[in-house]
Amino acid sequence: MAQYQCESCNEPRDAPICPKCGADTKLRGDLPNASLEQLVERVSRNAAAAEAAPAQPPRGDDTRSRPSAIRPELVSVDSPRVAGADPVAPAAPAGIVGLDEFHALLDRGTKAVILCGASYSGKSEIASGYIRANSAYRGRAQNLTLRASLRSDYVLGATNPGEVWFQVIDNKRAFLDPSGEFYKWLSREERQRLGLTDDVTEANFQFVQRAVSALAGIIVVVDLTSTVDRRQQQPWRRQEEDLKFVLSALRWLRWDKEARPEAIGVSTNIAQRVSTLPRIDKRVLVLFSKADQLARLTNQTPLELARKRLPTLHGALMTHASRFRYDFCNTMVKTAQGDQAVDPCGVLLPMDWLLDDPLRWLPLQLPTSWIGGGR
Amino acid sequence: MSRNLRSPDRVWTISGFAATVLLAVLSAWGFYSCQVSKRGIDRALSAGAREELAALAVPARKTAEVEREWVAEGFAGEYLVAPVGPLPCPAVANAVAPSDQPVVREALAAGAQPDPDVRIEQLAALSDAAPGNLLIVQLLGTALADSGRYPEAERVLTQGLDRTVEDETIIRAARVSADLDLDDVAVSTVIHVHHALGVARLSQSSAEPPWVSLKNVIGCVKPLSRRRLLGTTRGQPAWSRLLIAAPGCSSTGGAGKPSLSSYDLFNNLVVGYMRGTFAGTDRDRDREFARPQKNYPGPLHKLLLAQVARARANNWQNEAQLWALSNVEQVIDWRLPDDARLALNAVKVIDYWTNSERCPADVCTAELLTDVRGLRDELIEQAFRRRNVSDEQKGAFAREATGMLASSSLDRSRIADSASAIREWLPASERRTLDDLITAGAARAALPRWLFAPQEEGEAEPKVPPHAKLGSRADRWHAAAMTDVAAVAADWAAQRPPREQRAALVAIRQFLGATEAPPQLIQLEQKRSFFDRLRLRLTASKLFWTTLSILLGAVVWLMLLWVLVHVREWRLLRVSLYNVEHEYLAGIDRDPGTH
Repeated sequence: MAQYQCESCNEPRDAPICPKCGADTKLRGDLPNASLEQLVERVSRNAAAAEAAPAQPPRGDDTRSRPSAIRPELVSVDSPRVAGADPVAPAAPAGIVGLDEFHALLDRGTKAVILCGASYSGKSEIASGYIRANSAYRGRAQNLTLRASLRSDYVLGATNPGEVWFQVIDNKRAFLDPSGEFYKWLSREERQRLGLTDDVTEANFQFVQRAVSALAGIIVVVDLTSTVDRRQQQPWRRQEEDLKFVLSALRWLRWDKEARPEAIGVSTNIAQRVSTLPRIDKRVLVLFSKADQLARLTNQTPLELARKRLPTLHGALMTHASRFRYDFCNTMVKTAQGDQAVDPCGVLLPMDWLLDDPLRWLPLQLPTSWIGGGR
Repeated sequence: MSRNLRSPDRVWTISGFAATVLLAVLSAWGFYSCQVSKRGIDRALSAGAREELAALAVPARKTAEVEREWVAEGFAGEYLVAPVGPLPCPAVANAVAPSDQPVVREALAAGAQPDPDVRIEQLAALSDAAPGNLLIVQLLGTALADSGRYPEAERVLTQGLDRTVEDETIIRAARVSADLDLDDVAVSTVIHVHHALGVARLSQSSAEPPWVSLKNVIGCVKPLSRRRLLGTTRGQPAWSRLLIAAPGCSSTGGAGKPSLSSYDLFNNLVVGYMRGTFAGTDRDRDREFARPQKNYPGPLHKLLLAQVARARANNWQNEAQLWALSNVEQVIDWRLPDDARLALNAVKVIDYWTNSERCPADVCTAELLTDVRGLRDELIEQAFRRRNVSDEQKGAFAREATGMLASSSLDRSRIADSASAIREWLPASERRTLDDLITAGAARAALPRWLFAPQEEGEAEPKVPPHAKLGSRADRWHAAAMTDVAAVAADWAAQRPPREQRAALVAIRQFLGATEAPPQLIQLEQKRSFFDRLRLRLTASKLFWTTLSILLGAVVWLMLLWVLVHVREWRLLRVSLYNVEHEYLAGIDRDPGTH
């Protein structure tokens, strides 16, 4: 077995990624024959360099810059979706902080509203903003669920890596807000960037597997301030690609009960099976977050924007979701002193559409793509 | 600005929702009205058919059951006993033997005493002084009976008759002698004494049966009556109602009371038999129950012969009551009795013998019962018309007559005037029942026209149904009346061509609703196949069309709602809710007081 060394933790590792901090490790052979003092100096320099390069705002959950909990990939799970695997034991959510409690909520009959999106896209703030807006505009108070990270001025901060946060909406529903890191591990590009050559496994979906079964809705958060290149035709291509995979995976998780042959990888299995499965039957709300910074984009309707500028995401929604809608939102504004919480805008009414539509029970509703939400 | 942040399509959606509900209700109502009216009387039957139905007479069957419940308590009483006859008139003093004249004059003077106790005391003293004088015995017995002192009256009358054989001699002679007449003082006295004794025995729990004295007077009166009636025309109003003047009186009566009549004697004999346990010898039976062969026997004649045959086979059970029936049959064979009391008691005797316990189907055929009911109705009508009862009996008579009216099917409009007179004899609490019976009779007659008659152009639709005046009794009565109407309508439909019959059956079932169907209707339906019957019942059921209409309304509503939901979704897709909320927040900023 190859031996690796994490330079950040200065500890030997068995994998190419450090399970403790998530940073890239190096093969033992790559390490120079340096003295102990040189090595210590190098580690200190690397740490200083990491601190000196604040590529992300202070809430960052960059797995390479902050210590992480156990990576989902490393959780040992014998999934029943794999043919030949032990079908008795469903994956124990060992190592994912908060998942046990959330599953206990599901056991009580609570339905899950799953938040999807990249790190720093504002998923937690949207969930929290909905609670705040409901209280402010409708007089319906709800306690915020405590979370590990500190908060100041109503700013939640990022969800810790390896943690799922959840926020109770009412006695029947709760937001499931997984750390962006979980989605990052599903991202093909991210995996390539990290040098991971193997396919995702069922264990990578453990954070959302049970929630998909008790689904009440899906919120897809797209951070339009995060672009690959503004000059490109599809500046948010990377987010679109990631969300496309997430949507197909959620569809597959919700409907596919057939065991996967061990020889077929999960990604291949999803690609092959998903078109035979029903669409996601619950509503999907796509929120373009941080709209306060997108003045030019908000002049058009969100559907127009999605059609013209996010064709991959729009195509994925038309393919995988039955009912969907787009909207802008912002829950904070950017100031010179940093992000500041404001009255949420574009959260309450779209959430009403997602959660509180009194006519959702009506049968045989046409997909959104058939009633003007198509191409 | 509202504090609440609401979706921009809220008003539009609520209006649309209300419109869907309205349209769904309208479509359901329209469907229901169309289907029900298409199969109802107005549209399913032709004007000619409706005219025929409107002219049908509705017999009281189910309604009679309901009406009988109205009179179930407090309207049935005892048999009415004819009271004693009037006291003799002063002229009788000249008609008796000279030796008896002084005491008779004294007795007549005593009988004129206004105080009953003084009268009785003086008469008792004279009776003791002249034992065996039947005229004084009659005076004393009558005075005692008039005062309600029946045991003393019975004792005095019995003693008086025991002291003489004159009565037996006269009774025997009356059967054969052509010289005797009802106006003879001796005959009249004997009749009055025996009648008074019968009354005294009937009016208390006497140890002696009443019929001995009652039969005696009847035995005496029958041949005398026949002789008196020779040459008169049968069927005349007064035929068979012979007045028996008190001794020394004219036939119109005496001493402030009407004369005794042959009906009074028959009445009390019938009452005596009905209350007693008389048993005759075979010879007596043969004589009493023998009837000449008739070409056109009346219903009571047939009933009597059938019951006699049955009694003979059953060792003469209820023999006394059979004798009563025989006497009633004899009276009615002459003509309807011109006497309310006898008519009423005759109805009770008929009811006794047509009761299903005593009159099984092999004896009382449907045809016989129908004929007997007709006779019964005539007797009740006669009782109402005559209503010639003493003041003391008016209340009991009115209650009894009201009770019988409830179980009759006679045309009550014919006795409305008599009923209004009798109504005053009832206590206030019971007058309403008699009023309701008369109203029910009128409603029953008017119901077919109200239900079926085609409306003339320009004719205002009668808003108040005929039974509305029945008040709290209206609903149950109406349900029963619908069953009765359905019965005659089914009989009518049975004679119609198949297509019209089917339409009529549906219409009948429709107006019948959940009310019990009459046997005639069920019989007619049974002639159809099961599936045809099922289809017929379903299409006639308003509940079925209501259910279908609700389902249709629900489907229409769901379809409209489905369209509404999709239009709403289409509209919402093109709206930026972010901008809506943004404007809302901007509004709050402009007017901070609202937030």
